[in-house]
Amino acid sequence: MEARANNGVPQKIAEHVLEILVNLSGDQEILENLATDDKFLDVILLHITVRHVMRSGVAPFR
Amino acid sequence: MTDEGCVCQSPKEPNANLLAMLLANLAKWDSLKTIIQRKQPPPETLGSDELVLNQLMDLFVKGADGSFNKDADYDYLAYMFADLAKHAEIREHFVRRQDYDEAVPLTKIRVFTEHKSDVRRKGVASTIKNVAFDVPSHPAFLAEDEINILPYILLPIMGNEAYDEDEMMDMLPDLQLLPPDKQRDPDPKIVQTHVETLLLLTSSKGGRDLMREVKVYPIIRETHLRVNDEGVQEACERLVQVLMRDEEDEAAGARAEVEDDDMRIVEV
Repeated sequence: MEARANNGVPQKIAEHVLEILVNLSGDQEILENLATDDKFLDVILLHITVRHVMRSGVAPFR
Repeated sequence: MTDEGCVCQSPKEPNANLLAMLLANLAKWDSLKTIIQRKQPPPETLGSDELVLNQLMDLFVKGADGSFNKDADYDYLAYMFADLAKHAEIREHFVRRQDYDEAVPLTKIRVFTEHKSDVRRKGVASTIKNVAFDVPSHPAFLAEDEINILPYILLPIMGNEAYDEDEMMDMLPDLQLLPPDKQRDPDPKIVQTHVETLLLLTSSKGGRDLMREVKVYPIIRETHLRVNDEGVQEACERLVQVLMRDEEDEAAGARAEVEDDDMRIVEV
């Protein structure tokens, strides 16, 4: 999923993805899946401290 | 993931609050405690160090009320700190002076027990309580020149009630002569959490003596009288029992009180 936040539309997508993840992470199985995914945590932690916009087109959210 | 292309930094992540909520949820998974080992380059404008946990703490402190990122207040990070503080190694981190800013992390968030955001107040109260399970750090919790937690957990449980002058004179300076519009924290769960933190801090004789000296009892008496909530009243009664007990039978009693089954790490 593309979530580059440097233009309007993908930014909305990132917002929706995060809302969905917040809600889904209430489920134990999904929580385990997310909380034990090192690469995913890397992305979350980088994004919350500073917004990293990747020009290469690498999608921050899988 | 960041090894391709340029990484441009800007403190304006528009979804930072959602990311904070997500992290608060993720912290409910025990293995997230390994966050304490994580490092990443800190954003230049934050003045933090390489440890991710310190960066999050600085974001929470400097980013309150949108002052770092106009789109975010980072309040939900308080829930993450509270859940992380269930783990001994994280508790130890929160009471250990950090080299980069020479501050004890807990001293940076204690001021938010009087913040207007319910989420921020609740999360910080729960963090303080959970860290207070680290009994060896109680002397630092109570020392005026260290964490000095007492005024920060007593102020929110006080309203505008009047005290006898001799009671008032012995209270901590910050708690004397409160303005007539001073209000007690409106959330009874938060009041209960603060009283339970006080109860944890009575596990040493030093803690009990200090609380008697600075007249915690009248404050708890008024809280018990004025907060119509079963949880708050029960917590107040237990604290009063410990504070009013004769020191002779305390050796056995106070320990049992604190290690009682009802005293649990608080989940937010």
